[in-house]
Amino acid sequence: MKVPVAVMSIIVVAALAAFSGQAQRGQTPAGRGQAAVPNNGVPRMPDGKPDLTGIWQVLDLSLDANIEPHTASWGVHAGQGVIIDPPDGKIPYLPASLAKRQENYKNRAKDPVAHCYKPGVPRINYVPFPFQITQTPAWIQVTYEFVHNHRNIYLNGSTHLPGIDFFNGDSRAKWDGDTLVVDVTNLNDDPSLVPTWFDASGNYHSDALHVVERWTRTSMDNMTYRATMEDPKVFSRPWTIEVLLYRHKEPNFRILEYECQIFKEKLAREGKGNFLRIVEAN
Amino acid sequence: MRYRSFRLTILVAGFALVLLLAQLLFSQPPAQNPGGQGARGGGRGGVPAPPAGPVRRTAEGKPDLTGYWIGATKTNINNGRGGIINPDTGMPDGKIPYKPEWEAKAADTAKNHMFDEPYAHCLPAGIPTNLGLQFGFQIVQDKNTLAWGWDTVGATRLIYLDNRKHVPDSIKLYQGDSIGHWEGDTLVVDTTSQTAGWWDASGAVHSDAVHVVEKFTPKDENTIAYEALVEDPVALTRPMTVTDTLRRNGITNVPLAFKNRPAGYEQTETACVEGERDTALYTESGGGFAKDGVPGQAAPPGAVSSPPPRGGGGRGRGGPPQQ
Repeated sequence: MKVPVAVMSIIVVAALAAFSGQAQRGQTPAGRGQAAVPNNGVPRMPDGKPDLTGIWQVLDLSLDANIEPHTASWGVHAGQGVIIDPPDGKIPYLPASLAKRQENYKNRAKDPVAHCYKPGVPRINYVPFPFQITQTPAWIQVTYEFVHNHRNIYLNGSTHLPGIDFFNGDSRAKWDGDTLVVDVTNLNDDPSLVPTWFDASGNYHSDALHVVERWTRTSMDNMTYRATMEDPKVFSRPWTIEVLLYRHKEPNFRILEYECQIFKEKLAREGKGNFLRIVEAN
Repeated sequence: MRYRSFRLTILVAGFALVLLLAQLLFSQPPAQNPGGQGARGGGRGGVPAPPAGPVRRTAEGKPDLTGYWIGATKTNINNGRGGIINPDTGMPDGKIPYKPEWEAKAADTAKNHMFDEPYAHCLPAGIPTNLGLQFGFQIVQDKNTLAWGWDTVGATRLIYLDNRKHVPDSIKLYQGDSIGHWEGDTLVVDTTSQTAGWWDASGAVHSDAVHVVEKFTPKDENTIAYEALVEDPVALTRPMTVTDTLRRNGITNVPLAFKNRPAGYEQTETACVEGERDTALYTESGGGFAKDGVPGQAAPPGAVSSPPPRGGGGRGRGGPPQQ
């Protein structure tokens, strides 16, 4: 059978292109042999790592109110909680710390997030606002709609900055297979600056908090977010949450702005709230 | 006045902390940048910057702007060093072509309404104002987005590269809605939907009709030529062009805290809202909450307020303790 030369060369070129594309994408161990059809439709970066880019958000609106199982109350969605370890779904507080938590709950009008403060890690990832991941091999910026929060996640082998605390911590990451593992330390617990809470119910930590996040994109539209909290000053053992993130795919969806402090100031001006810092608001 | 002295203690402690941090982080101040001469001109102690290589590129072959950048500090964009092109001479020493009533408005703002400066409220400064901030900014670029972060106010900006449409003009954003595309090696960014704001830190106000088209043209791995065409038919008699040279930051003027770190310079978190005192310390006649005639005295404390209600939520959110 005769095949015209032009058609033949198109076929050859196409085959070569397909082959070279596959070879390129399949260079890393994680992507080898499966580059053409990624697992579960998880897209990959040019370096073969899972592509975590996109705009993500938690769908469970009860989490920011309380990450433990809870019934509904005024303005609060009921929720089954997100603590997968320990199995009872509760934060393993030391006895004295549990008392402090109950005190926080009574004073939950002082929730730092309600005063527009940075939510800290892991809470920043489940406040009811979207965030966007911008990814390069050595450096990820996570940009949050809530009061222009943003996090730098470094994958360049660097170590934590010594001696400086941050509301959203200091994040250094590496890949564990297809999971991005982020080690978060230097989390703020300065009483004059208001420590961060895990939710609006006063679940809290000390300056000894160490968080390990595990980000796993499981499909085109979902990502599993796990965080393990370790803080021997407050908890009797480490504990872990697992949160499901959804990808925004509405046409033209983008991160907008929630400059919360301006609304707070306006309320204060109208005599409806106290603009002062939380530590002074009593 | 136990309460007052407590607050003053906090205030003094806050200042001390800021000073300490500033000393730690910026004991070597960024280079003075008149006319855009930046970090490349050599660091302190005569240490020259390493020679710049070619423009860095992404896996897709586009210029890769990922990194730390800094332009000229434009505290007063109207002082002849703000990079505004003088249409008569072509030199970057022009002034804002204000309509007379906006010229007067800007002068009045500088004299009487400095309280309204976005910075005093921890707000992002807008485009192109944000390019002229003293500590520079970072860009993390992937194929769909350029994500920006600033040291000042900890502001962010997202430039989308996916051929999307602008958001409706009824939506107002402090940083505007930025959509970019590549023309060869030049990144062209169209920004709409900005709130009314300031072009500098000296009262150069603009309206919310502002429309900006920026061009970023990388010259080598450490240099970007920057040009912004700024239209504001409400405030200006004609569009103005603002120029600058952006230099890769953190090469020679590395703050002390990052010296001897293999990773070099990193931009760190800025907690602005959390330490905000300007609104409290400005007096009532200046727009703030402090009593006139009592320097440093904030407004009298009220009862503990309920937090501002958040979208969809009620007051005093949070579930009852379960344990």
